[in-house]
Amino acid sequence: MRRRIEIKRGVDNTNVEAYLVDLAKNHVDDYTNSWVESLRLFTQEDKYWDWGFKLKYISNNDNLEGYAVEHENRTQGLMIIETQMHGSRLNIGKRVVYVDGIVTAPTNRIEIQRPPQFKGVGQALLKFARIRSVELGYEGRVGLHSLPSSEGFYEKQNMFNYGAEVEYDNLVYFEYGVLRRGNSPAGRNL
Amino acid sequence: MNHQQQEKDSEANEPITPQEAMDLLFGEGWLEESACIEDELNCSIGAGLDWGNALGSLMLNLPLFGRLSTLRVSLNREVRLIIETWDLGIGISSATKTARELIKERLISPTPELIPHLEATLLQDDLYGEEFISNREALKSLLAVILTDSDREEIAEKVANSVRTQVMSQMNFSQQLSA
Repeated sequence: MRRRIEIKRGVDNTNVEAYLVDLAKNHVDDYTNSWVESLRLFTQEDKYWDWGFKLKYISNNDNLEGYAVEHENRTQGLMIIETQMHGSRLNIGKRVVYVDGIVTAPTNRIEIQRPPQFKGVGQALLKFARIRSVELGYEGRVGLHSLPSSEGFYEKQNMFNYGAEVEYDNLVYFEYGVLRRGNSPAGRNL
Repeated sequence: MNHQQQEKDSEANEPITPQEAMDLLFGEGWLEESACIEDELNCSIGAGLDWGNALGSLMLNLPLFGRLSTLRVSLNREVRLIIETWDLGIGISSATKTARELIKERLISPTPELIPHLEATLLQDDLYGEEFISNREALKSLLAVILTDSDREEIAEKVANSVRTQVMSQMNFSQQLSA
């Protein structure tokens, strides 16, 4: 899978070409060699996530899919989704694509670098999760458990906030409902 | 309702196609709107359950790892349901938090005695098809092995501390009122 998208360069707000691709070893190498040190230095909540391990286990489970955003062959964001086991909180009995993990490169995080190197990376991944949801017949429903520092981001996406869930270490659950033709250009529910 | 309106309504109720979703989500203006949101916020986009920095031996058994996450959230739910029946009042929150931490610790670094029990549960295909395991008996049996006597002591101690803190804060409040 290789889909062309655009992301925005942070320093001058110009649009640049990027690609949404399947998660592969080169992305894990970028994570290990370029990201980990910064994540630990800035004590990011995902500093111990092991994407090498994640890549290995998705290849052993057909309900898991991994994706990355690349710009000029450098990894800008990573995401893993689960596609068969998670149910909607909003509409009981319906399936959701569940975002098992989603992160952007340290240089794209405003709390690490201002302005960030690129904007729109995480949102591109999240929108792609919605497209996978449509492709799978889940009508755009997507659920996830936000890290504490990211709750504001998901609130801004107009995702439905279900509050903290004890089962998930009190992470707050957010869900996108059905994607309709009347949604705004950015896919926010009107 | 006229024919044109009916057609419009029926189209609105039809599921959106992947191409329409692509056009809608990545259509004109999406990036500007996304950039504005990021400019407004001072936060990242991270999501997902954390396992800490120590991947245990069971987690390195790759085919079972996906199930281990399902097992973890299911055990968390089961222990919450059990604790809620204990009538602990103010101590419920600290009891569930402590139990959750202990469960995570045991799954990451299981004792040699626990490993066969965990493996047996992880290998039961019929338990894994949904986000949570619905077989409560299987979960209860496993919890009985996972949480040791010393774990139960620790939970009890945390609950006692919560109650103590609550009583002390209430007494301070009473003193303030009478002052």
